[in-house]
Amino acid sequence: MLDFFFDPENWSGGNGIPMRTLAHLAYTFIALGIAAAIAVPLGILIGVTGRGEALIAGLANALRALPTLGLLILIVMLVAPLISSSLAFTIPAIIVLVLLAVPPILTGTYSGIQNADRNAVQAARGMGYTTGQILWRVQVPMALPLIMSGLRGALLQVVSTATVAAFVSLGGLGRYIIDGRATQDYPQMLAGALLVAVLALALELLFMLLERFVVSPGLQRKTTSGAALATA
Amino acid sequence: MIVFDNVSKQYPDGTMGVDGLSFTADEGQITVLVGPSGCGKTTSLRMINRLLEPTGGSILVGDADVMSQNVVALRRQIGYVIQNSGLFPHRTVLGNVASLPIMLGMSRKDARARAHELLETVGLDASYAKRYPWQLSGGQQQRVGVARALATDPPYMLMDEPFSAVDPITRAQLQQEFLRIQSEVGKTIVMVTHDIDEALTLGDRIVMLRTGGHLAQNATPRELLRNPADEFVANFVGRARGYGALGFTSDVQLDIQPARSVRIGEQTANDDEWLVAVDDESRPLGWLRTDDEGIAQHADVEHATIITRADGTLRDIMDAALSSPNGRGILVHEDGTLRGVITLEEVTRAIRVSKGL
Ligand SMILES: Nc1ncnc2c1ncn2[C@@H]1O[C@H](COP(=O)(O)OP(=O)(O)OP(=O)(O)O)[C@@H](O)[C@H]1O
Ligand SMILES: [Mg+2]
Repeated sequence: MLDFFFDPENWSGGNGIPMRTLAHLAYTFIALGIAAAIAVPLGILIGVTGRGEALIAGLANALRALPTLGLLILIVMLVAPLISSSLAFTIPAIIVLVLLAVPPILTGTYSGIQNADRNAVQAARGMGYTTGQILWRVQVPMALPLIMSGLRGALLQVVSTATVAAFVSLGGLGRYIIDGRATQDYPQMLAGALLVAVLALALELLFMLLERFVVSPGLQRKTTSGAALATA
Repeated sequence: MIVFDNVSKQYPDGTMGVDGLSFTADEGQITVLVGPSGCGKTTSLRMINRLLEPTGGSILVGDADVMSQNVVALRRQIGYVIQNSGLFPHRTVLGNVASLPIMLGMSRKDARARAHELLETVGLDASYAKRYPWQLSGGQQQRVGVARALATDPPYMLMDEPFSAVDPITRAQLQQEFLRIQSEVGKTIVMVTHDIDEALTLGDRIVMLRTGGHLAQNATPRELLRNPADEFVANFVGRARGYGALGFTSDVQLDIQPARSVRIGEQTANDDEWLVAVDDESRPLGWLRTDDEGIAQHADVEHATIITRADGTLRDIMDAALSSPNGRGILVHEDGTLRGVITLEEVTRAIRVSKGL
């Protein structure tokens, strides 16, 4: 396997590790972006109105239970006749990843809004905050820790599942696994798996850093040391 | 002025939260709603800023029915302090106080300066400004809650058990600070408590409710103690009627006797008499019996003695006499200088006179 990593061929060109990592990241972030654009507003709506919660919980569980690969192939078969070009494969892959990413973000967002300190919301209303001001200045900031952890969960799911894109002859790190299997090149397979794991870990770390920045220290006492804050 | 005119609130499940309640909270005064748990205090308060809507009668804030006013505009002239402070956990202490003024268009700089001022007013050191709510004690959070409600200088204030989260000593301190602040700002305040002592201490007027949301009595603290309307009120006022009532009696003629006093460090006649030790400005420090050499020493002063003003309440004057080692209370002038002493017998006589016995 070390041979694989030391081979300069594997570090350049369209099939090199950098390009494939980039492609992998591209699928991941496009899917995550679309999922967030759907799930965050929907989660806020459900959280604020308290309606549709049961429906969403059921739907989220159903989505989780779907077999990723089967779904991918199904969508390719449905979409392929409609679109001619490589998009016929890209779109189904993205759809599958989005479906995977929506539930954790949705759950995180609506439970974040619902669990936001009721007294604070009540006080804001009593002081004359409008509904919109309560949402953006009180509820959403208080929900951020849970929204962020929903996003993080989704990101990890997507980055590891993006390997399936390779099944429908697309790029990304999954190619090493698929190609390695096809040619019985086990070191290559293993290298592919390792690269995905490292990428996931790196993203996880990055995301934790991002959380420190966007979540108010007033809400981080459960995740960071209180002493550090108290002396700050 | 806030006026309740035959106000009722029936919850959707049929519970009467408040039933035919009428009272007036006068301009610049503290009106306290008091009564047992579940009698409709919070319900009444929350109808004033329309967090709840009455199902009968009307509530005036200023000159207009609350239901005819724009709800956001109405709320913005009413400061609101809720029981568990309701601070924004994601904002610093300063941010909590400054956020509403900033939202309403005050410059950040001015809003922060004002927030700093208010924190000082409620007795919070500048070092707390950068903390987050979870880094404060319950009492400190309640102070921030009061500062936040004052931030836009609204003419009205609603306070729901604002001092409940603290121990009795801190509570008494907060109450005194609050009275001092109110004497400066003169807001029209409606406050809720289930603690009769708090109501008697803070209220200019007390509106007592009974279970079912009915008015039990609407009176000044003094009237409430002297003439409870019925058995329910009398029981609720309870112990406060006896000894506590003396805290509202201050206009009785007292026979105050001159006191033999001695300055600390001075020579005294060594006759084993109790003397009032005074400092260089003639302010009494306590009772003292001279030592063998006849020199008045600081260490010999009985500091346990309570010293109070001659024009104070009978309750304070009785405390002064009872806490004295010799049954005579030390009384002072307004400026803290020695006025004289009063015997326990004279205090009891004054109590009898005040009660018309
Ligand atoms: N949302 C509601 N639905 C139905 N009944 C309610 C509701 N809120 C309050 N009540 C009832 O209305 C009555 C008055 O409640 P309220 O909260 O005003 O009491 P309170 O005087 O503030 O009591 P406490 O001292 O315990 O805070 C109670 O019997 C209570 O059970
Ligand atoms: Mg209440």
